[in-house]
Amino acid sequence: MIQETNQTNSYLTFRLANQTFATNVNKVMNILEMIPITRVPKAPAQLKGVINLRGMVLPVIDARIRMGMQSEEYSKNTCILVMKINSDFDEILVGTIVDAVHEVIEVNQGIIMPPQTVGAKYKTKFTQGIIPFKEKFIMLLDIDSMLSVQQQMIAE
Amino acid sequence: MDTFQRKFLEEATDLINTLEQSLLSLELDPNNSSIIDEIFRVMHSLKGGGGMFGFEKLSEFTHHLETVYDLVRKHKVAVNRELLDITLTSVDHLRNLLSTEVTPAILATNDILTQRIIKFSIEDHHQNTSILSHLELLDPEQDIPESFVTYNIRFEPHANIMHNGTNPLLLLDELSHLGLTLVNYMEHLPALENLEYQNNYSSWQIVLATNKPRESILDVFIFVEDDAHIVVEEIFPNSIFQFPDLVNKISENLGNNQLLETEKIKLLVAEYVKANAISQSLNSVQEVAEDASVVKQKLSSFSKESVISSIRVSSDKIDQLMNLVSELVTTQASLSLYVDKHNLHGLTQISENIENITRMLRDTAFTISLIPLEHLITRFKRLVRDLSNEFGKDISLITEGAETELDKTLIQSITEPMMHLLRNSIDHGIETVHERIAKGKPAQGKIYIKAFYSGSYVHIQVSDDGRGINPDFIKKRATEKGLIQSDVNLSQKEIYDLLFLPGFSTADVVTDVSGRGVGMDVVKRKIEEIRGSVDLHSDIDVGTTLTLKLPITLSIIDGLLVNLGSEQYIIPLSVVDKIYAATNNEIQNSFNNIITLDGKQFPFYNLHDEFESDGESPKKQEVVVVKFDEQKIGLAVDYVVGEIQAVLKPLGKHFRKQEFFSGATILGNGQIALVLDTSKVISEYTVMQMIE
Repeated sequence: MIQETNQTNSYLTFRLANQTFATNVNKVMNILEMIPITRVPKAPAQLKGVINLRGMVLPVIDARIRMGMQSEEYSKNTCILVMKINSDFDEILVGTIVDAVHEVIEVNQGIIMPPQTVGAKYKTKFTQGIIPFKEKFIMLLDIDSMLSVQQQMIAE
Repeated sequence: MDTFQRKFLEEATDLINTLEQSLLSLELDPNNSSIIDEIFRVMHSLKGGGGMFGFEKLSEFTHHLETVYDLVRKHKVAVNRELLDITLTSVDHLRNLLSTEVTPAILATNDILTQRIIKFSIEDHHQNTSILSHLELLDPEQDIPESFVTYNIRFEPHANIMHNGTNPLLLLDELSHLGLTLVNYMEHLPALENLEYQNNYSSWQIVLATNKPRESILDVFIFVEDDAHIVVEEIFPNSIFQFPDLVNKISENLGNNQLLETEKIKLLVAEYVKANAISQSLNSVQEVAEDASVVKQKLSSFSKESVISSIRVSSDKIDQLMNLVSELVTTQASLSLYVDKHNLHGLTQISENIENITRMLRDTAFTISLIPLEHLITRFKRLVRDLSNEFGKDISLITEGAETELDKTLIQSITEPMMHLLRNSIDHGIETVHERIAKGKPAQGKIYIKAFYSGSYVHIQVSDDGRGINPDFIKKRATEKGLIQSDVNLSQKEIYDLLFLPGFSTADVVTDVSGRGVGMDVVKRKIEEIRGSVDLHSDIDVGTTLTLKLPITLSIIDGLLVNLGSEQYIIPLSVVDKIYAATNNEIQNSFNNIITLDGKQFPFYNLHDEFESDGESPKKQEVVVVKFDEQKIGLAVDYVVGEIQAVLKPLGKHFRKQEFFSGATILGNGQIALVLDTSKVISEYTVMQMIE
């Protein structure tokens, strides 16, 4: 075994459709219940609009649309994750809508597997790795590139 | 780096800027001794501070400069172009020395410059000695200003002095500018029945310590010589103000409507001198000179202090203040909303008061973050000076309205574009001296920077009296570049607009046209980023004018809150011309999006449809007519809610492409309303019209 195996990181897991995803907890600033979003006319579909986060205007991205999944009605489990991402050498806050938030897990770095691109029902270019967890697989997301400004521009 | 060093860095940067500014004014007025003194003072502070806070190189380097300017001060070195060139280069070098990391390159520059400066002081000193002795013969007073002398002045105006409009108090005021004064006031009023209200019954006695020659005292009274009895007598060959006890003693004897005789003052002084054995030190010439310079420094710092009306505050604190004010504006809005909803009579008055105070606080807080354009002008003067030297052109920069104030973030954003415009003017706009003479223009080219307010905007004009831009050439070039069809008919303004197209601005266009165009698209983009606009006007052989139109402040605007379906938007009040009522029918059935309002025809946008808002528009709608440049356009909305103070917050980079909105604001109820950028809406509309 390699040395790195001793190192563990914390990840927040959440659900989109029937797949579980994870992101490093350091990236998550806040978890909000679903609140009304102010629409910005003529914006691309995944840019849902803006919300008022304690006096700050925060852009919100729909993760389902971003991942190329079918969008669905929001439920009482729907949440907005407030993420801090690096974009254009800047740190900015972005909200992203997910179907439900699960839990925080500790993951030993050694068990993370490289991403698989075959057979997925969603865009895989944002997966950084795969975490085997309780006989299931959790997709580890590269949040920076998934929510980056450039990606939103290219998308349309 | 410790706090003190950081403080010094800030201070030193300021000092260096002052130095640069003073040097440039000295260039225009080489014999102005007050400017030379200022330069010397700044160098001295730099040297002292540098030594104290561990910037030894800086201190050492400034020392050499100071030596040269000390000679200038003593009229032993003349101010000339070469000296100014070296000094200005040194100013740049001083800035480098302030950076934490002193590289070998900087060290090398340091040595070279030091050599040149030292050489300067030695050479010039020798060259000028002969002239100097000549000067001294001509003007024996020349060296005296170094030392202070105390005079007793009696000023007894005749009764009729005020008949011809002379105000004796102004003369006293003028005297007090010469040095430090003690004033004794006397009046001899006649019996009431004899009192003539137009007559003067006052006289004054002034004890003045000054380093100015006696003549300058007499100069003060030059126009009243015939109307007053004036006696100026020397009482002490130094300033009495360096001995507080003596001053107290003399002032004790003043007053009581009695003149204190010169002899008496002399006696007081003599007693004091004897008692304190000052005479010894006074005998030593050098010390007298030193005392004098100390007093002088005190004097100058004294007058400085009384002039300083501003304090230094870190920009973080200002940002914090602005944020708090923004929060307050938002909170106040929710209070108003609450009061309106519950119809609480007692509270209405209070709420309105708070609204007024908030508005005033907002306005005051904003002026704090405004800084005058002057901060930039020095840099520009320098740029014009250096570049015109480089191109061998004779150009002077004339500024007007440098006191115009702009938000500090705006100042930062316009620096680059302005430099660019100046560079264009110098490089391509203004002709060479030969060309200018051939055209019958004055040999010296002129660049004007003119700034003024217009509504909630600041206009900054950069104009030159150069060769102008030939529209035909632009058209030809644009056709070659494939930007336009060769057979289109364009107005002059449209032709100039071509200059701002990204495709137009390639380096090879330029030199043979007239130069504009290099990076003009960049200038335009930068200005538009801060919600400003650029306009160009040019006449061949008369010159070119570029006008930058900028909002005064970025963060809070007065706006009009409008409803579209369940959504609310804000239109900046500054662009609103009029609001008209219109029926839904008129709007839906209009031909070619033209609506007739009040007998006039306006093109319009139906925002409800345009923004795909939910719900149906009501039967009676409203049309907000907004103006941009000369254009007016109607924006049809469901209805206007009212006026609102909007704290403008950025939408964030993700919405960079949504140009219709310049930002968002949080309403009193916590909801977000987007703020329309009407200039974008209008230009989009114009583009659409052109396509059709």
